[in-house]
Order: sequence, then C-alpha cells, then structure tokens
Amino acid sequence: MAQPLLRIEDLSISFPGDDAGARATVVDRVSFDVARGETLGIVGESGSGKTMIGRAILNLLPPGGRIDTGRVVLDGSDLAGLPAPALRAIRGRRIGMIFQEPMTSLNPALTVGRQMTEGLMLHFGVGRAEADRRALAMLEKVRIGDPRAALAAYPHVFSGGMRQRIMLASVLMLEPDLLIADEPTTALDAVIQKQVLDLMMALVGGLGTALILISHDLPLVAKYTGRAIVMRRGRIVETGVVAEIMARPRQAYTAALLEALPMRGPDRAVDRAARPVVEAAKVSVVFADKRAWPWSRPKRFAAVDDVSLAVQPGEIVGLVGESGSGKTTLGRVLLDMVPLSAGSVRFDGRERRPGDRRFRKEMQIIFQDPYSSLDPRMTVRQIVAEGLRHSRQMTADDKRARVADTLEAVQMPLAAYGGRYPHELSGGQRQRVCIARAVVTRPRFVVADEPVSALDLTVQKEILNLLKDLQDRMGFSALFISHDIGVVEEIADRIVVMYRGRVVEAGTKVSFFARPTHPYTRHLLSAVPELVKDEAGTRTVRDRHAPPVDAPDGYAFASPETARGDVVYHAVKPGHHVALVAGADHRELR
Amino acid sequence: MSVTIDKAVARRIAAPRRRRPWFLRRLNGLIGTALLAVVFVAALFGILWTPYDPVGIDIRDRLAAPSLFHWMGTDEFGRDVLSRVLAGARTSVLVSLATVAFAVTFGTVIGAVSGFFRGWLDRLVMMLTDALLAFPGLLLALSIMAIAGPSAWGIVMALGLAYMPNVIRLVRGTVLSVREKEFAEASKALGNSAVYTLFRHILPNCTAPLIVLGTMLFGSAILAESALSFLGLGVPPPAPTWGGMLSEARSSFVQAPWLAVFPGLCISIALLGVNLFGDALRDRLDPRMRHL
Repeated sequence: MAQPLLRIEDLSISFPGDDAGARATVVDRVSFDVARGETLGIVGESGSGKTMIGRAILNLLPPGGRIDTGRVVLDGSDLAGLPAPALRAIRGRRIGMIFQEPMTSLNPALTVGRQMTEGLMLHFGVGRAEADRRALAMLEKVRIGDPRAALAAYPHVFSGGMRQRIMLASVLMLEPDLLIADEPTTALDAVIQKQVLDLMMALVGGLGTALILISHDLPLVAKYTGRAIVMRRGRIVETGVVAEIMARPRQAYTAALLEALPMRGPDRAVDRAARPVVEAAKVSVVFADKRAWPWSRPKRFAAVDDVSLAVQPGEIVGLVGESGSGKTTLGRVLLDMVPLSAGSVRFDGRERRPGDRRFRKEMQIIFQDPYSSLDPRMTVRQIVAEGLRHSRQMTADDKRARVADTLEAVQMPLAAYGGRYPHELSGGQRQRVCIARAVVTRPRFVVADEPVSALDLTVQKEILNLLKDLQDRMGFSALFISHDIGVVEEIADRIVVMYRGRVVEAGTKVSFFARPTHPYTRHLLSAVPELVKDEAGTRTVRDRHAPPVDAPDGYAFASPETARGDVVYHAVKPGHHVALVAGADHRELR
Repeated sequence: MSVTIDKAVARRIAAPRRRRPWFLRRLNGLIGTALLAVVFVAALFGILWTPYDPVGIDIRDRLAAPSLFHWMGTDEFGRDVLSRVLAGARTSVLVSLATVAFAVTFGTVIGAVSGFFRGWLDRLVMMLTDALLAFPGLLLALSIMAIAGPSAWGIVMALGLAYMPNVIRLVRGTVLSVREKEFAEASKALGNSAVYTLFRHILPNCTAPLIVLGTMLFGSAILAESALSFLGLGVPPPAPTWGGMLSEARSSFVQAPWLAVFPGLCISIALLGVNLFGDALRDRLDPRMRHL
C-alpha cells in the first residue's frame, strides 16, 4: 500500500484542567490516515476534541495545550519534532487551514490582495505582479464578482460567505497537499453554506488536494466526504466509508448524530377563525444611515417593508430568510424592541403603542447566542426569577415555586443548577435557561430568534423537542425565526418566507411543503439536505428537490426588475400565498 | 470541551478550599500585598497611636539621628520623624482613598449614563472629558488648588476632578460594549426600565477594568498628593504629609539625610505596592492573560 499523505498515530492532547495543575485529556490516543486526494470528515459534538486534532496537525494548539503522545506524520516525516522554521515552510504551503469564523480570520487592516498574495510571495518567491495575477485568477474561480476591485478592497466590505470564499481562494492558491476546514460554514446561512461547500469541493477535486472537513454535522459531512471518523469525548467511536456508516451505524451515538437532522414535525390543527394573538398590519421599519455631512440627507433603507402577519393562539409560525432579510427586525418590532416606522401591531385585538409596557409579561423572546444572552454575573436562579419582577400580584412564595417549576420544565432542576453561573453551563444548558427565562411569566407569545443556530445538531434536536413540549403544555403562540428551512419544517405550523424585508411566500405547513412556489423558497429548500430512510432502515442524505412552478409574468423579487413596484399576494391554496408582480398572469399557478 | 470544564468545576466545588487566595499565589501579588499592608498598617497607627505627638516640638532634641528613642530621628523642630511618617501615611492614604472614591463614583455614574443613553448628553460629556484630558492631570490639580487654597478636601476635589475623565472614558467604553450584549436586550424584553438595566446588568459587568483602574489611580493619587504637598499646595503645615516632610528636608538634607530618606522611602513603598498589586489584579481579572 502506498504511503499515506498524513498519518496520525496514537495522538493525545491535554489542557490544564484547573488551577491545581491536573491536566484534562481532550484527545485520547487517536490514529487515522489520510491518503492523497482523499476527503475525510471528522464529526463530533462540541468538546469531542475534533478541532484540537486539526490544530495539532499544524502545531497550532491554543495556549496551554500540549501533545502528550503520538506522532503527526506528513509524507513520512514527523511534524511534531520539526523546528519552527521547517514547520513554517509546511503551514500554508503543504497544509492549508480554513477556520470557522470568517468575520475574524481575515485581517481587517490589510487589503484582500495583500493577504492573498502574502503566502504566495513567501513560499514561492514570486513577484508582486505575478502574485496579483494569480490572486485575480483565483478570485474568479471562487466566483467573486469584480475580482479586480476585490483585490484592492478591505475585508469588512464583504459578507461572511464572501469572506469564506476569499479565505478559500487564498488558501488553495498555494495548492497545498492537504486542506483542513474546521467548521468552515457553521457561522453561515444554510444557502451560503451550500454554495461555499460546493465550491470548496469543486476546487479541492480539481487540484487533487486532500481534505479534512471538521464538523458537528454528520449529514453534512456525509454529503461531502468519502470517509468519516466519528468522535466522542476525545476518542474515535466509529470510522469508515461514509455510505456504510450511514447505512449501518455500528454505534448508537452515530445513529443519534444522524437522527439529529431536522425532520418534518406532525401536522397540528390550529384554530384559524380565532382572534390572532399578535397581528402586524402593513408594518415597515426604516433605518437611517449616518449622514455623510451634517447637511446631507441620511440614506434610508427599509429592513421590514410593508409586512402583515398574524399569529393564531397556540400556533407556531416559522419565519425563514437569509441574513439581512429583516426577519430578526420583524420579531423585534412585534415585541416593541424596535420602533416601527409605519403600520400597527395589535396584541390580542388591542393596539400596542410604542413604549407600552403592559404587554411585556405576555410577550417574550429567546435569543440566538446563548453565550451573550445571559448576564454572566447572575446565577441561573436569579436570571429566571428576574422575569417575575413585574408580576406584582404574585407573592414571594408563588414566585419561588414558579421558578422551580419552570426550571424543572426545561430539565434544569433548581437544586442542581439554581446556584450555577452561565459560564459553568454548556451551550445547550444555557439555551434552556434562556427558554426558562422567557416562559417563566407564562407569556402568550414568544419570539424565538434563531434559538438553535449556534448549537450542535444533537443539542439543536433537544432544544427543538423542549420547545415543542413546552408549547404543548403552556399553549403559547410563537414566532420561530431561522435561516434553516429544515428546522422550521420540524417545529412550525405555518411558514413565512422573507426576502429583503418583504414576505415572498407564506402558507400552512402541508400546503407549503407540498408545493413550494416562489423561486426563492425553492432556493432555500435546495440548500437543506434531508434524511431519508427506506424500508430496510438504510439512511441516505439527499438534496431536496422542488419542481419549479412557472408564473409567466413573474414572481415579485425574483429578479432585479421585479424587486420594485407593487406586489400582489396570490393564493395558491387557501392560506398559502405567494408574492407576484402586480398584474401578473397567475393562471398557470392554479 | 464542555465535559472537561464540567469536571474541573465539579472538582473545584468538591475540593475543600484550602488554597492560598489568588493575590498571594504569584510573586508580584505577594510582594504588592505585603507592601500595601505595610502602608495601611502605618496609616492605621497614624490614626490610632503614634510614639510621640507628630506636631509636638522639642527644641532640645533638634535634628537627632535615628536612635532607640527616635527610630527615624527628629527634624529641625525636634519632632519625631517616625510619628510624622505614620501620621503622614494616614493623610496620604485617606486623601488618596477619598480622591479615588470621588473620581470613581462620579466618573462611573457620568460615564455609564453617557455611554448607555448616548445622544447629545454623551457628546457633551465627551467634549468636556476631552478638554480635561488635554491638560496634564497634575497641572489641572495645581490650578484648581491655586484657586481653592490648600486643604485636604481641596486636594480630594482637585485630584478627583483631574482623574475623573479617565474613569468616565473607561466606564463609557465598557458600557458601550456591554450594552450591545443580548442580556441587556433581554432585560428590556422583560419590561425592565433602562435605569434598572444599567445598574443591575450593565454596570456589574464593567467592574473588572474599573477595579484595576481604581487601584492604579490610588497609586497616582498618593504620588500627586505628595507632589502637591511638596509644592506647598497640599494639606497645610504643620499637619505632617510625606510630600511636606520632603520639602522641609531640603534645607538640612546634608546634615540630616534621614529627614528625606524615610518619607521618600514611604512614597516608594506605597507606589511599588500599589503597582505590583494592580498588576496581580489585572492578571486575575483579565482571563486572557491567565495561561501566559
């Protein structure tokens, strides 16, 4: 057998565990090979040690980390024993790395061109002009519009997805033998994620570069890599060809990772005739940019543009859209956390005026980032109890009982967790505390703003189940905001799709998924893979496919020409509407 | 990672707390704490008991060298230098503490309100602090003292005002970043008032850098108070201060070097102690520095 490109032998990594000097092992005797041109996935939950393996290969462990045993062998030579200069010759040149956070992995003080050509000039000694020429060609390959302008631009003008593509371009420009991609798309929207990964696979395939894709998302890894390693608590629990792992997972843990992919939830009956709990009528939110000069007119743009939305009692409405579609702003407007510029919001039939705090107890919000949404200086008990500050009719005993009940309901019993601080909890546990804080007042309406986007798939599943369970028990209505249409399909009764501040399609779950109509909706759907089980119980992950539905005169917002002007909402079915250009011919849609 | 952290936490909770407190665990913290303790004990003696009356004149015993009776000798009026040093410690420590308390209290409130509510108030406050920061602190304090006349409270006001812009800027900056955290927004969503959110959620999360700054300001205040007293603009004589003693020692420095050495040593000890302690505090409160 030919020598593998990379061989990891018996690798163990430890970190300082506490102040007393004991060390915690985060990677425990891991061995695997990567052949030339092979694609390998390393899958595991947070804390499984997968990231540390990737960093150990390049000897880039964070401070305190130490390789205790084992070897990292690249083409027959041990990297661990190499002196720093030899190691530098390998980083970038032979092994490239892409990190998770596109917002911080490019240096904001250097132009894109400088950063892209840096490695080329360092490792290959090519001149400025030649380096620029190659960078330009590479930017074209990763499909950056106007690559010449991009070279001279600074990173902040690019979106997360664009930056990740630029990273990809600058790393692959050196044509390394091995690319390590550590959760390269976890911070991105589902649609962008698919674009970046498809692009990465095409480039890697073209160059014959071997790839290690590190992710918490087994279905994703399954879709893109040939072989996979499943890790848990620093150890390899399963390794093999992806198709086989998928078909016959040997470990319950692997099966659980697979099952964590969101799946269609049950259809529930919602009383459509009842008075809506929350009703937004023709709501717009306009933000004004800073003025360029004191006398100039500030630039305005509408984050939410003429949106109407009603949430029935007990209904979960899923609000889907990409970053910048205005979905978060719409959620905030309903809670009066952002002032509205036009339109009105009614709560339980009564109009809600700005600054009116009467409804605050009845409406709550769950945030996306469980790391910044809890006050680090308060205990779990204090955080949850704070929600009851304004419940004047409750006695102190009532409040204590309510806090205990609520924490019990989110499976964080008061006795065990009440005295803990947020930094002592995992991401999923923090999100449970956020949920407890939101439901402790027994609100009638909850806005959940991307509550699972920052979590591992398995934890995401737990949180979704918890939300469904709480909703069943307490009966609140909810607006569930997400960029991932798969997650929404699992939890929502009705789906609303937003694009650039407008609603482009809205419908009940059955009708919506039976016939996704607007091109943008189908675009969103195509980005989310789906897990299919056949009769034999064999699982496969596949792309969703929604046949196009033509509306000859055009969907609104489907192209630049249809993005302006009047919009009409055409009923595909009762309760399922799609945005068309005013006056469009919609016979075809029937 | 969560697993290992949980383990570490569990161990920390389970283990009996017999380890040394953090400020004694490293050399800089240890020395800083020891030196500061010396200064505070001296100040305590200055308040409660001194071997002689620090302002009691004894003409027969002028400029006596250090001896068993006068451990640090006597000055040109026969006053016991040790007693004066202890009483001077009292003055220095109390004045500096009051200065820091004044600057931190008002600076925090102004900085927090300015950073939290933004708007025209913020712009006004920033303009004023920028203007104040354009003058060297001591120069500013000097001119305020020149107007107010020398007194202990004058020093507190003058130095407090001179230091306040630093506090305001620091607190405002921290508040600006903390107010964007989602827990601040969560507090709003719960129906809490802005003032409650500011004092319950935002300010407690700004304390770490503020404590470090406060400690460092305490050191500067000791030095500045000594400088003002040296220039005759501080606590008026005959009340003993370290700076005042240094100033009086100038005329007889050659015959009686102990007059300058002991108060000078005190100032050095106090400053070294504060700075080392402040370093240890920064190591402790800034988690990014921990493993370095």
